[in-house]
Amino acid sequence: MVHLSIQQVGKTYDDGTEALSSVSFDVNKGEGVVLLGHNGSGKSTLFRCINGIENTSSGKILYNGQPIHDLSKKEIREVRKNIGMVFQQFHLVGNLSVFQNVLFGGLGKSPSSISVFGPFAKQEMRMKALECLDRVGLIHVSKKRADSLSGGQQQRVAIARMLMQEPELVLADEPIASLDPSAGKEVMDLLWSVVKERGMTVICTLHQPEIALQYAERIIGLHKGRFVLDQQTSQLDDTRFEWLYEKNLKNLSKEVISVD
Amino acid sequence: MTNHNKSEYAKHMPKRMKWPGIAGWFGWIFFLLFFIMGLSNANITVDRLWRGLFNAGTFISQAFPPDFNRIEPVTWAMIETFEIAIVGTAVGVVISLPFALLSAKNITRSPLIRSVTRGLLGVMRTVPDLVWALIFVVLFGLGPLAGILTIMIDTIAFCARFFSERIEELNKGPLEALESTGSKRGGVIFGAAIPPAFPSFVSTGLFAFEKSIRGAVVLGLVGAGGIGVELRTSMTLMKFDEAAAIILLILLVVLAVEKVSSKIRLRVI
Ligand SMILES: Nc1ncnc2c1ncn2[C@@H]1O[C@H](COP(=O)(O)OP(=O)(O)OP(=O)(O)O)[C@@H](O)[C@H]1O
Ligand SMILES: [Mg+2]
Repeated sequence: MVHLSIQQVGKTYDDGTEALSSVSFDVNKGEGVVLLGHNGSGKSTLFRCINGIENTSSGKILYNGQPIHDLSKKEIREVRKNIGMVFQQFHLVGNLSVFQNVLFGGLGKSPSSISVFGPFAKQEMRMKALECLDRVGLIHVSKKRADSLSGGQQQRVAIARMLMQEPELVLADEPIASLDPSAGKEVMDLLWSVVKERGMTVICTLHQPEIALQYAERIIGLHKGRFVLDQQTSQLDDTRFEWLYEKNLKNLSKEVISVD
Repeated sequence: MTNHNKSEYAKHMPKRMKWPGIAGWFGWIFFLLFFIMGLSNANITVDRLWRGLFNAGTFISQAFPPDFNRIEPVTWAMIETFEIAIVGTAVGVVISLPFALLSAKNITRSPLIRSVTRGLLGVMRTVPDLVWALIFVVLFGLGPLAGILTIMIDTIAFCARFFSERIEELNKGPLEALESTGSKRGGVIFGAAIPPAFPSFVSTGLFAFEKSIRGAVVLGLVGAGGIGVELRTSMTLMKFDEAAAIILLILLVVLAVEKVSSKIRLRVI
């Protein structure tokens, strides 16, 4: 079943930068996709378009068959509730407790915002937040300030916040780019296992093709805002992706590199 | 080896090294004119300066020892000043928060709302507080209410500006993270905008309070309640020893407030 459908999506920023041009692909429910591409290839832009932080300039994005461009603010919020984000810089609120940060995952779905704020938090919300923290192995630091944790721990807290949100689709934008290799592996293992055990769909951008191969079922590549690669990892014969990071791609049309 | 014609060197000279242009000359002439006129209109003569020194001698000799006979009513007046400062500052700090949010670029998208808010703050700031006090005395009569409102306006203008600057320099990551959960605006603001800025709010609020206590003393002079009224009465009746006691009390309270507030500030940051 198609979960997310990107159809001919183009994005040109106000300053004239063309970040995406005519990108199309479908992602099925429960699929684990890694998105590769050089710096500035448009990966983050694509994510921002999917959750409606940026508007697309052309094309369509369908979430569960529902178009998500031209939505009212309220409708966009409804879609966002089901899309969890994980960021390179974790984006926790540094001077609040780990526990409070996880609670914030419930902001969208709880009927009133106040029910995720410290003393006002409902008992069931508190229990759920602790459960999520337990799942990422950090329940013992729940009272600490978020910015007192190591990078790897902060990213695991961000994953707990994402779990609290209970999304159907997870967009992880370079979740391990600020982490050392061992913390990075820990975070990727955790991210992939929680996503798989809950049947979530995940799209994750990475800068290391060799790590992508360890986790992804499918690898998608962007180059200068164009969609240039789409392969199931199981069918991959060439596992070197240097060409994807070259300045100029010559004579590479979509047909050449996509298998199907 | 040189790459440029020597005749082009001049345009690479920094501004400061050149003589001022026409506007600059006018500026200087304008300034000097008013400076000289100001000096001459002040009628500064050696004779007057001598007399001032002599009067200072009389003042000090009559002010000491300070007369604490009226200490009770004076203390009550000081307490009133203190209350004016506390109430005015507290209400002002609370009201300044929505003003700050409405004038911060990263929170309020609409340029219209931002400029209206900034305009209002501009009026509050540019009208001097004694003028506000006079207006409020006319509106609400003599007494502490006029003082409280004046301090409130003063605090809103002072705090909203600092708060909104602090909010504008927030890392937008956490804001985006909470927004991406589908949260409403209020949730994002109370979750990711106010907490990181909170220490700076407290510290700015304490500064505002220190400012308010000094301001509230002066407000009494125009009848807006508090110890200023007492001070003015003693001065006009030439009871300089009473005035000295009042000034000592003011000094004591202001110093104590500054001390306590800097202690709290250290603890919050
Ligand atoms: N807000 C913006 N305004 C204008 N141009 C932007 C903006 N955000 C991104 N861009 C430009 O759009 C292009 C794509 O950027 P994007 O951040 O999507 O790339 P990316 O693939 O995520 O890169 P990286 O690997 O460095 O994270 C770049 O040329 C970038 O400079
Ligand atoms: Mg990016």
